[in-house]
Amino acid sequence: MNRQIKIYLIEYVDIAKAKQAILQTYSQEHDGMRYSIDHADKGRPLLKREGERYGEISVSHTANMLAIAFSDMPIGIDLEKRDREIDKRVCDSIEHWTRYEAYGKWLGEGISRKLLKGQLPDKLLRTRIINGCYLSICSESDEPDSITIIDNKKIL
Amino acid sequence: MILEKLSKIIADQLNMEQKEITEATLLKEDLNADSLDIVEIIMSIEEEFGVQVDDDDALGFKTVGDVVGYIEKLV
Repeated sequence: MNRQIKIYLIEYVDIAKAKQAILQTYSQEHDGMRYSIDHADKGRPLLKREGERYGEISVSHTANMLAIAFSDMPIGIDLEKRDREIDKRVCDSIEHWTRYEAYGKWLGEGISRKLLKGQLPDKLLRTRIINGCYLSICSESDEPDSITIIDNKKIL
Repeated sequence: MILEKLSKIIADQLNMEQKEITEATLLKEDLNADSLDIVEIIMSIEEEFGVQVDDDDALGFKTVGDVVGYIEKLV
């Protein structure tokens, strides 16, 4: 089992094309198989490889950037612009919010106010700054994450 | 009028024109609201109408009309 998490980011205008670009890049770097994303109840994304369930993914996007994380274990990610304003009654900072969102997605239940009132599992969380955004990752993996920013001029 | 107040809350949160929002408006597909938008909208609804919105119920909202109906039962 490869514990490393692979995360791909791409700037987009058309999000559907951006999603395809990431799936194609992943396929090329992996095994050349056809990958697609379905959705379970509550909107949870499911990765399919040649139509069969495969691995785990998490998806997040801002107004113009899409991120998809691929893993063989449960994974949750959240991407937000650093300067996005947040109502302080919801959460004290946008960075903190991304950690809660990543955690909620890792749990498979998504964000809720009950979750926001609780503790975060800091050992499972890491937050990076990429292209003016906070990217938070929740996973049990202890391998360093592989982060690739896809040049969308090549794809489109 | 609930729709009036609700559409103002949504329009303010999402930087839209209030008149674009009707009962038929789909929360996800038409408004492009993300989780943070939804949580902030729910908090504004609770403040404006003096009600408590259950998060699990909120997951079931598909249209603005669904939210109007929900608020109507609570006020």
